[in-house]
Amino acid sequence: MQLLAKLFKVLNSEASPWQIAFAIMCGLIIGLTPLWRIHNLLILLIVLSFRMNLSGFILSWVVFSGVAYVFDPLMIHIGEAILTAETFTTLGTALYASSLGQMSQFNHTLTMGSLIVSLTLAPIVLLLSRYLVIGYRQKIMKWVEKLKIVQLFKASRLHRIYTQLGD
Amino acid sequence: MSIIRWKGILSFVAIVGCLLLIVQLFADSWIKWGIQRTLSNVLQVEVNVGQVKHQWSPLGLTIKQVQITDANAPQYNLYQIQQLTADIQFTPLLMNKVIIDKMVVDGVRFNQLRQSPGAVYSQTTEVIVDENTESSDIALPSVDDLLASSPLKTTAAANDLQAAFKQHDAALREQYQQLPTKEELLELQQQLKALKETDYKDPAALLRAKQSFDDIKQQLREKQQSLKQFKQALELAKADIGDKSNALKLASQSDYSMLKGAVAGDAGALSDITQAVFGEQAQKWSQWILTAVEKIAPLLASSKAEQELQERLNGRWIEFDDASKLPNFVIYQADVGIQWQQLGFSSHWQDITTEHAVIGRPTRFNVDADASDLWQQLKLSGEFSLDGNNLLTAAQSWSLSKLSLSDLALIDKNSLQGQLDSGLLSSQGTIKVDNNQITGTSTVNIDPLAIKASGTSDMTSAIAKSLTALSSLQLNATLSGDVQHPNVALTSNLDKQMANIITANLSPKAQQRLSQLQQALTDKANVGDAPNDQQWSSWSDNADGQLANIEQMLKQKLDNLVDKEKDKLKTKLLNKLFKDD
Repeated sequence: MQLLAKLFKVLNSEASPWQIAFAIMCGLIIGLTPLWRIHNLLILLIVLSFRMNLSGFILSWVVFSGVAYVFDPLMIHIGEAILTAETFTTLGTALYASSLGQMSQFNHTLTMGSLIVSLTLAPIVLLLSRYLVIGYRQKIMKWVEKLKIVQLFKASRLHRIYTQLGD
Repeated sequence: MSIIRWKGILSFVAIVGCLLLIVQLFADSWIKWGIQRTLSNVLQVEVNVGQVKHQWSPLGLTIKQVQITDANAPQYNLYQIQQLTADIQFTPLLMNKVIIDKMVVDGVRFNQLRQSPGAVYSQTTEVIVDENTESSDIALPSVDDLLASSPLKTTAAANDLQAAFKQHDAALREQYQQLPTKEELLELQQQLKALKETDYKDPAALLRAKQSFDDIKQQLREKQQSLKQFKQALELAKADIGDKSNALKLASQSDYSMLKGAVAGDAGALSDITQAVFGEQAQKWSQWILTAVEKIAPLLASSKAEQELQERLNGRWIEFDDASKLPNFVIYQADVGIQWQQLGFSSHWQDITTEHAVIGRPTRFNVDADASDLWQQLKLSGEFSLDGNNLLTAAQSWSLSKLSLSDLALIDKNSLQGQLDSGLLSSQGTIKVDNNQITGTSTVNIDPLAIKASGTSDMTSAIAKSLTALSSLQLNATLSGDVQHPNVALTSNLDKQMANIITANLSPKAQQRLSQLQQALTDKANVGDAPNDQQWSSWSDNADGQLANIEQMLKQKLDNLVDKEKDKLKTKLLNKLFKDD
């Protein structure tokens, strides 16, 4: 319920669609890849350093962490295919010998697979998120607020949580 | 509005700082939890770690009070370690590799009582119960039991004889049915007689008769041939049955010899008195001396299997060509201090790993303990390695000189109790393990030896008396079976001594049992006798009679009639010729 309230809070906030979209994109990367990896520290630095919507980031992180549980086997498979590809051997060997490469833990099948999947999806998610946020605000938000169900919602406990989040 | 959030950068620094602080504060607890969880998963028993301390530079760990529950006796610890320190390489840790340059383990103890029984999560360790040592009492088996449980040669030979008889009988019966009948022969005989007694007026009729005569003879020869073949088959069958009957007699005698010892109380046949008395202790000694191969190596194999399972679930680490290729786990050097009774000694290990193929060397270990209050000398060395399928290959040899023994419970049955009061044990042995299967031999010499024993029956009292009289004993141990649960088979000259004692004390009851055994074996042998072979004799007599008949018939000739007719024709011709002149 809090998650749903947070979602509405983000969508109805003053944050720009780009801020929300970038936050969702970063949440996607950190959510799909294993948490304790050096690239996630970089993601965190980017999210905190630039004016991204933190609520959107956390929300996206939580959602995509759940998605990752389902798609881990697929991402392991992709990582395995990349890391064992002959064309990757030269780059892999060079990375393996370097400190940065070792710290990145690139040679872990899940890490590599999930990073590649999340980086591939990142631009799509970025643009799609922005489009959906704009669309929601322009077309749906006002219409939704007029709905009886929303008015009922506003009288509900969920709405109290929603408003408390803003306090 | 700037796109950079300066407060955010400060937040990042604060978050990273907090993370480091949390790691510093809770690392010991996490490591402790991790060790307990990993070892519990691998061993399937409760593992307790008292305290963990880490240091960053150089990276190292100190672990105190490790307790590993014994799955077979949860109130005891299989191993207990007082303190363990390890120097760990940092960079390989990032690649999920645990590389320990040096490890020092102090105060390793075996079979220590726990404060409370440990949890056993899965009964993966099968408890091998020696039926002989666990039986409630030493008792003589009944004749029926012995016959039922023994692989009797008599039964096999009887079955063999019966099967052979059936086979021959069926074949001979079929062959006999193809033989000429008496009626057929009689008819042929009458035909021959008629041909001979006819007065032939013209030569053409005579020639036709001659042809018929020859045809009948040909038929007779064919019938003679089939009768001879039948007789030959019959003789072969009789010879075969004779051989098998002799084998049955020999089998019966052999079974009697084998079983009479058991019925009379032969110690050897009673599944070895040495095994019964010393088996349990020998198992314990073997577990102790083979700890490295029996326990440590399978432990490493289990941890490798657990690691492989985790890799399937959470992804695996791909290796790239690298000059310094490292296994996922290795301890290059370990010194392990073992506490046994009041004595401490060290064992030295090299290259403890789960991936021997990667480092190209087996795990090596040795113990070289000098004279102490407990023994004169202990030397032990060995090596083991795991292949890609986690199958173990190992070799170990040991030499233990004058280990002091005292107050060891040997046997505790209703009718026989025994305790080793004191003794000095020396042992040499070697074992090999291939694909998890152990083979090995060892000699155990206990000299001097003092045993206190008592029995309740005549027989067990005699055994107890002879055990008490022993001043030394040499045992030969043979190890075989799965490496984690090897069978230790013991033999000694004690078995023969016991057999002699028991035979000398043969009771009237035992004598009666011997008679019963003899009768039972005779019955079994009788069952196997060839079924009534009068039939075969009758067939043989019939065949002989018919052959004699045919022989006689074949001797008959028609030639004199033909010659007579020729003479008649010749006379006629001469008369005609001389009359005209």
